[in-house]
Amino acid sequence: MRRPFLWLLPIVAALLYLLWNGAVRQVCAEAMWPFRRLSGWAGGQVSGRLVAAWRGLCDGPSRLDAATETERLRTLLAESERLAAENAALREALGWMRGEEAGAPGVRLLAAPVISHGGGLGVWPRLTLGVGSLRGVRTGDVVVAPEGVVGRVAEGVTPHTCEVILLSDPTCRVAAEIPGIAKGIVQGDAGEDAGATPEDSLLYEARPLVLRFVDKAAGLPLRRRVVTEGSGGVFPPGLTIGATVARRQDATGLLAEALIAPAVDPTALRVVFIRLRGRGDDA
Amino acid sequence: MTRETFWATAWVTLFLPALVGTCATLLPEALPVQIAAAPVWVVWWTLSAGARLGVWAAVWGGALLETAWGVPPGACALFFLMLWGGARALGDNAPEAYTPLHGLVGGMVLAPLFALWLWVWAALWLGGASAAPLRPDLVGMVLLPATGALGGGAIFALARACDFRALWPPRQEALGDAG
Repeated sequence: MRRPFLWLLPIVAALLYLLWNGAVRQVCAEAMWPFRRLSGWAGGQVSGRLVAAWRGLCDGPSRLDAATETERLRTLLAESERLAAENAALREALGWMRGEEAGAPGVRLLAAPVISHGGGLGVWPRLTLGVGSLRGVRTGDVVVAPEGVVGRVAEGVTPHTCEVILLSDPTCRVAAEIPGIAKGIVQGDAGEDAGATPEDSLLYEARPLVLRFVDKAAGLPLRRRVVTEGSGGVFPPGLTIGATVARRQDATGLLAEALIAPAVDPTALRVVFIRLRGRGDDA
Repeated sequence: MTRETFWATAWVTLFLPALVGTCATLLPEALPVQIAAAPVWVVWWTLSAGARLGVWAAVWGGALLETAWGVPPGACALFFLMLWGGARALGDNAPEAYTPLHGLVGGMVLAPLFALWLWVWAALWLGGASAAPLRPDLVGMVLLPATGALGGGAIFALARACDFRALWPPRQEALGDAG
């Protein structure tokens, strides 16, 4: 009797796992969260010191005592340069954050560290952040950076982590406009090259976006800022998405499309800001 | 459940989040490197631990990897469960205890298979275009056996040295009376 029961075990386990996968993923995210934060911090510390030490080793030979002291000072100098740059970036982000909060009463910005870009394989249009429901994050909250809008919080927020659906995700659609000129829907291109020519694709650092369903008569200008329109109910109006770099007709030939270079490069993000919804919020 | 089995289960349950979380954060975001680290240890437990603990290691380890990598549900857990089933199906022909050589050869063979499985499963779940980033290219198909062999051999040796005895128990038939 035990043999048939033994073979049932993985089948039942697989079925239960697929049935409750959402809850299982939240448990897994919470279980890994402290180790991911710790290893991310430790990795940053070690890599900074290794780079500084390597610089010291690459220098030419000299008297032993003087060489040792020089290398020690160079290591300290490199470390202080790194800290100064990080300090300046954080001050700039803090100043931008305070400005945003002052201009939008009822909205609070929560700074969130980025734990991973695109999952451990780095291929998916999602970010994992190190804040969650304990800090007031909810599904659908808009995520921004000083350069522009990043995306929105996906379902499955855990107490300490959340995932962000990036604008480049094909499932993310944003009502957008070129102020005073045209309106449409911005959508990711699923990672495929959307450039009409090889030269267009070279301009893209991140996955390009496409502004669809634009009236052909609107006359899409190039190198113009694209912002959120606000009619979708999720993204507030006026947030920068990117700039137009190319235009074309859609597959039916009835409407126009514009290719957009995103304002934000998600792969370079270390800290983002979540717009927490409160009283008087426009979302 | 014996005392050693209890501690082995606790070890698997607590160590896997640390292992997967750390590897996903610190190691380069490339499939050949990621596959050669945490998944190998999950495979070690899936094959070496007892029947029930092997299933638990496969499901828990698979779930953690799917969450860390952001791949669709079942992409990792089902693969490990299939390995579990294959090992059980071998019955008496299965190795008494898995050695680093098993890890080396197995890693060389299974790493590219796992990569292909991830791509196919993601394509079935998300569509071909969305799964395109996971499609192994020529360089990947050359690197995967190499990193799989390296990771398999090293991690099987390390796990064999570090793990509880309950995580690689001797086969029951080998335990006869001393006299």
